[in-house]
Amino acid sequence: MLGIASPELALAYLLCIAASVLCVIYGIVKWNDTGPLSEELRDLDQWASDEPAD
Amino acid sequence: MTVKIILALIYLAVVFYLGYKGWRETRRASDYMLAGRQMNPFVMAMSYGATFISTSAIIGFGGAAALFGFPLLWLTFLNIFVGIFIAMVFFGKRTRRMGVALDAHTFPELLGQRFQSRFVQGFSGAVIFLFIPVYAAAVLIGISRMLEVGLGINYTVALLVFSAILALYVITGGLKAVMYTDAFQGTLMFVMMVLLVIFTYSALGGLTPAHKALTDLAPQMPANLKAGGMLGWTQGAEPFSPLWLVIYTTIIYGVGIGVLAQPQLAVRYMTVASDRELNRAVLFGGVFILTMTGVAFVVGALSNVVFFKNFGKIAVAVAGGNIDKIIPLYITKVMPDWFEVLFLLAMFAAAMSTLSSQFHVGGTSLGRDFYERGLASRGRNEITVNRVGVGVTIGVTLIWGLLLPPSIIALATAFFFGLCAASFLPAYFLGLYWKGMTRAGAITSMAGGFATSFFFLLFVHAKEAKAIGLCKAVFGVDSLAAGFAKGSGLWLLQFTDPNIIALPVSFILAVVVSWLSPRLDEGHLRLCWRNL
Repeated sequence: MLGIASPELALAYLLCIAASVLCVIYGIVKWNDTGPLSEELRDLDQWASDEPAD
Repeated sequence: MTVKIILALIYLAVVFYLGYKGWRETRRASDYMLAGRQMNPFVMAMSYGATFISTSAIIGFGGAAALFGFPLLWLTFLNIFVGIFIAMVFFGKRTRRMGVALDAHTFPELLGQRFQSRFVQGFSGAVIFLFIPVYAAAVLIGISRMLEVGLGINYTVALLVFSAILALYVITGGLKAVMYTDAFQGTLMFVMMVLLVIFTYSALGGLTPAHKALTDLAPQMPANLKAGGMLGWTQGAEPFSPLWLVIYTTIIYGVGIGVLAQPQLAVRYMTVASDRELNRAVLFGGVFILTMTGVAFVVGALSNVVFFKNFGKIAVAVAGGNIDKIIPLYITKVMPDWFEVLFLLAMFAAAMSTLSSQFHVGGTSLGRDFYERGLASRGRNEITVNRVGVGVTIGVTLIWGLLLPPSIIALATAFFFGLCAASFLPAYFLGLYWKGMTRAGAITSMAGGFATSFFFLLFVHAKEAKAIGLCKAVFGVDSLAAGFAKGSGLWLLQFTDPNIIALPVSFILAVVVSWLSPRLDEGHLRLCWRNL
């Protein structure tokens, strides 16, 4: 396949491209997925540390 | 020569401008150590990629691909899938969130805070500070040799000038300067590697004809490689032959998995403000790494066809047996003149981006982790302590650079990757995912993994053990495994990457000792997991 003698190495060649494509698709799908911001997380920690102990 | 010097000056002017920008924006300790936790995703991804890929990944491993062929593409696959996708998605996001919860400023500090242990932070900092200068010296030696050949500068002068340039912007501008310059350097590397692969495939009539020509070249495979188990460049190696073990365990397993526990890479996850930057960095990083090692390995292997067509010899024969010369010779003899100049700059960029990050992580490991936390020394300005740490790291690297032989490049890289994986990976991974991981488990795993990896590197794995010579001095043999029956499992250990043994040992110690030792305080675990 693709002029490469060993099917295992042809698979390696294709998987390199597939892994890159996976990264691109993941990046596009999750482009605006922020999760919690570091600043919000820090505020949350500040708030939590001000809390009285249970 | 004039064109070379003008382009080098333009390149340096941009690097200094970006270094100055980083310095101007550095006001607090978190700016110096974590780029203010507000880094742009493109800059983060390019910085991660450019740090990951040094000159030796392109020149050294590209030359190895000329020798071993396409099996090295498994390493590219791991570089992308493990080094980018798994790293950013499964390690990066948790590292960022836990890093904020624990107010960690460095990779050792993340581990130290997670396990509430000054020893863990101090030990990690010491391992990084002691061994990263050797790895950095290997990169420095490589690029200084290129400066010597490319611009005709004396080797020692090249070593000193190169270190001085890096010292100027890393000491003053901290991680912001490092990451801004990395992004520029990464972009230059990206453009040159894209041009290189387009040129090579075009010269050989396209993708499939190029591969077919390489397949047909198999009878030219040198006899010593055939004896070691090689069948051809696109045919691979005989399973479990000595060369198969070298390729699949050292190159692929050792370097491919070792990337997950590289402190200079892991710290970058904590430089961004949200998961969004990491998600976008996955996209940039996946494409970047394909064009780095993917192109280097494909072109390295195909250089055999080009050299054979033009000179009647395969690559390693043209290079007189020195595989580190194959890619530079390919650029000089086959590519156009204008390309040679720009490629030389791209290689400077690859070396500088890796070195700047090595100096920065070595410096913060010494300043923040070992001096401030491990030795509990307080009261001095945090930025100053880290600047002194970076300065000391550069000084030690320079001394190693003047002492070590050039042949140490690949060894030093494997040494550092191996030690980092065995020492840090189980504590880091289980620390992010398993509440049951205890302080004793982390300490035992780190010390046990380090000791096992170190023992195998010094006494068993023939490549390093022979070069270091301690095994020969103590036991009179190059490797302790050489005394076992030829072909047996124990005999084959001398060709097997130390981490095939050391990493499982480190994982087992982490799990078993954690089961047997008291759990960390529940309140602390709630804090660690608060943001996850």
